[in-house]
Amino acid sequence: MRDSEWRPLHPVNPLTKLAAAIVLVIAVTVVFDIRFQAAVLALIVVVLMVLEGVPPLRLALVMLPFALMGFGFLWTNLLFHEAGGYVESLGRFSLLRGSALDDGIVVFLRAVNFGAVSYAFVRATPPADLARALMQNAGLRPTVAFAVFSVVQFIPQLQDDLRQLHLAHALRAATAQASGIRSLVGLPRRYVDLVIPLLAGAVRRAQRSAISMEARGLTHPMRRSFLVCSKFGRADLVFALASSASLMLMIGLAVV
Amino acid sequence: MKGALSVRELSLTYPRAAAPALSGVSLEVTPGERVLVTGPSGAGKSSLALCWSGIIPQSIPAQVTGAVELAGRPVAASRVADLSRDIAYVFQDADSQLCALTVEDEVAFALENRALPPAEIDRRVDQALSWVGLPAAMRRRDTRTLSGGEKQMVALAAALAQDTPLYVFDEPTSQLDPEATARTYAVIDRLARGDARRSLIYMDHKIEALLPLTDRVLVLGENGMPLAFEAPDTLFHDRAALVAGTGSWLPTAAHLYRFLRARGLQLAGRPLTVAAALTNLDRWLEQNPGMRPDMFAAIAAWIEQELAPPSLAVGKSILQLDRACYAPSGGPEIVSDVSLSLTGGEILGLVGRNGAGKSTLGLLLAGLLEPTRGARIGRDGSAAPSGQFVFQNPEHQFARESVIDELMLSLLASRDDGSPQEAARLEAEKLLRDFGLWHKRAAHPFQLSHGQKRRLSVLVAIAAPGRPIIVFDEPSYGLDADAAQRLRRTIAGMRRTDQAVVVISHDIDWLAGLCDRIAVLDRGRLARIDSARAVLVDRQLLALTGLAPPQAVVIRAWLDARQ
Repeated sequence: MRDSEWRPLHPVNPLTKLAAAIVLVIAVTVVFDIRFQAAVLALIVVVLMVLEGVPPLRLALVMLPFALMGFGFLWTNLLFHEAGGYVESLGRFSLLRGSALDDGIVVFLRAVNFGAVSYAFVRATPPADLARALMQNAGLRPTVAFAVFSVVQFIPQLQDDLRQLHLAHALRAATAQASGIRSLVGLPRRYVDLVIPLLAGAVRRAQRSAISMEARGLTHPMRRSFLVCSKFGRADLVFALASSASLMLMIGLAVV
Repeated sequence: MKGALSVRELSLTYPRAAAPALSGVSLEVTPGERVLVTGPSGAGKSSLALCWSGIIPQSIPAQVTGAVELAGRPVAASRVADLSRDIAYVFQDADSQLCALTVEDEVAFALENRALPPAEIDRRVDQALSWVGLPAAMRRRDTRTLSGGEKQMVALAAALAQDTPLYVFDEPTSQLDPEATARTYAVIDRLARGDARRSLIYMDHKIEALLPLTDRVLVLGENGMPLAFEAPDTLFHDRAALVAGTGSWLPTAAHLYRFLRARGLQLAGRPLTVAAALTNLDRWLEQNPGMRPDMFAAIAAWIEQELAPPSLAVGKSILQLDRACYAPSGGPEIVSDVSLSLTGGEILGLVGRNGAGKSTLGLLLAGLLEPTRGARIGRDGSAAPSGQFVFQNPEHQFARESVIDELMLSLLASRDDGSPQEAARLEAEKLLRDFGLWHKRAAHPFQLSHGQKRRLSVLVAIAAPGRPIIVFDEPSYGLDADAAQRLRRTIAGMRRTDQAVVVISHDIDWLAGLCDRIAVLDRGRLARIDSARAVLVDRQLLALTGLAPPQAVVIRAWLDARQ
């Protein structure tokens, strides 16, 4: 189980990690420099592999969609660089124009970095911890937070329902074809046939879930305690200092 | 003394409903009392339970008259959140009860809402998890990764952690396999014995395991009309006709005694469990040795009624699975190396734990899924025929706007002789009358009650074009005793030499009265397929899949040992 592993980022408050991720995403968006983008990627890869124990192959798989998107940008830039304006349209705040390849690589790395930063945040922050921090430190209403959790619980059930419905409707559609009733196999009709039972099931589940939460005392407004307190401590200070120093260093690389 | 719960002349009507859901229900529950609320589907059991904490009408609008007091406080004058300190619920659908992302957050949920100190919450979470037998290592587990049985255990732990004077269990085992059901009953049993002042109310169709703990039973009839509120032994023995008349379930022991008394055997005692009934019968036989042949003949007749006779209709082979395996794209194998053949005229039962792969095997048999390895072949190696599948959730099958159109869809498809639509309509009308759905013919299928939806889904499958295989997935789920019995008769009536019926079910007692053969599935593999008579006495095999022998088989073993 991962709980027994060394996860040094887990004691850091999720809101500190969220703030760091947002600042980094802004920096990645604003600083149009190949060295900076490469340094950010290297830092995130090190954090994910060393501190979070992500195997290289898994990391590569997660990054693949972002890399493909980045490659699309790179290729487009190579094709349309002479026409100008393409990279600017993607958000380049520097007045200096580099070569087509340099600009393309920056845009490529930026796409990968968006993915890498997001994945690092998700990886280092269990959703329950984030929700707890948002409720305790950011004023998120418990009624809203737990309603969202309930929806998260429903998703696998909805997927299962959808699988069953596809099978059931395949069976009924075959029956309809045999009966000569054509409207049933029409595309819009098929979606309506799927959506109605899915919605009916979801509404019933939502009602049961609301009853269950209310019967256990969830209301608004309310004074609530928490089993696990989400605090800001030494780990947050160390993380914030280390993140700021790294960011300064990487921006320095771009400026020099 | 302050009562745990007091309900006086409670009536309830939902908005736009033609009939009341509850009609003048009164009950007093004293501290430490254990009450079973029973009645047919739609008798208002769940509505009644939600009135006790004020959820109805405070959160679910309804017109309510009468008075409810919880722990001496009028419910109408209190907020639901405040009442949650005095009443805890466990509902039937564990999936919808869970609202936190980890096990410990789920168990702590109500305690956090009460603003208890974290140290106290921590202590109660540990205690509640240990009560339901979940290891402390599971505290940080994501609730989405739990099995159905584990989810219900977490829901139970969340209720136990609340430590309230009154607990309400609303069909907590209806979606569980027999093993998880037994675990749930064991926890409720422990809860009942643990504190003599704690009151428990359970509502269920079938709750035999808890009857010895039950002090009184409330029987609700149509429109939530209270029919009786008395001790279980007098109710189920002296007023068995009244209970059976509502379509509610009778304990096997009371059912057997009713049968024997109807044959003129003068039996004393009012046993509630089969074990108690058999001990009682032994004593009776000692006192009345001359009556042994009569008693044995009567018990044999009862067993014959409860257990399916061996199939007389032996048709030709219809389908064969040859080492069939099925794995969804990118997922693990759910069905592995299953070889079996279906014969016309037979009814095959399919049993196993939740997640054993029963539904997937059913879909393979019906041809809705193709084996990823192995083969599905028809008679003499010909192409395998496709089958019908009656889904566990009947709503999944509905595709038209009215009950009669739903049925017409199947009937028109089954008429390839070009006969006029009018003939199909006449047949639909006849079938709807036979299945008690005539008065609902113009209703949207989604507006039917669960029992009616189930009947319509069965009807739709029966009326569909001649398919030689028909598979029912948990058809008796959510049905009351009467509806389940009627459905069993309908399925039994489907024996045709050119059709094989497969029935997937957790309810081994219900299956025992229906199937010729039973296949036992264990983790995707076929553990055994044999005649129902052979499988149902194989205790070792049944235990492997968390099942216990049907009550009728236990009684037959008792009879065999004495004859």
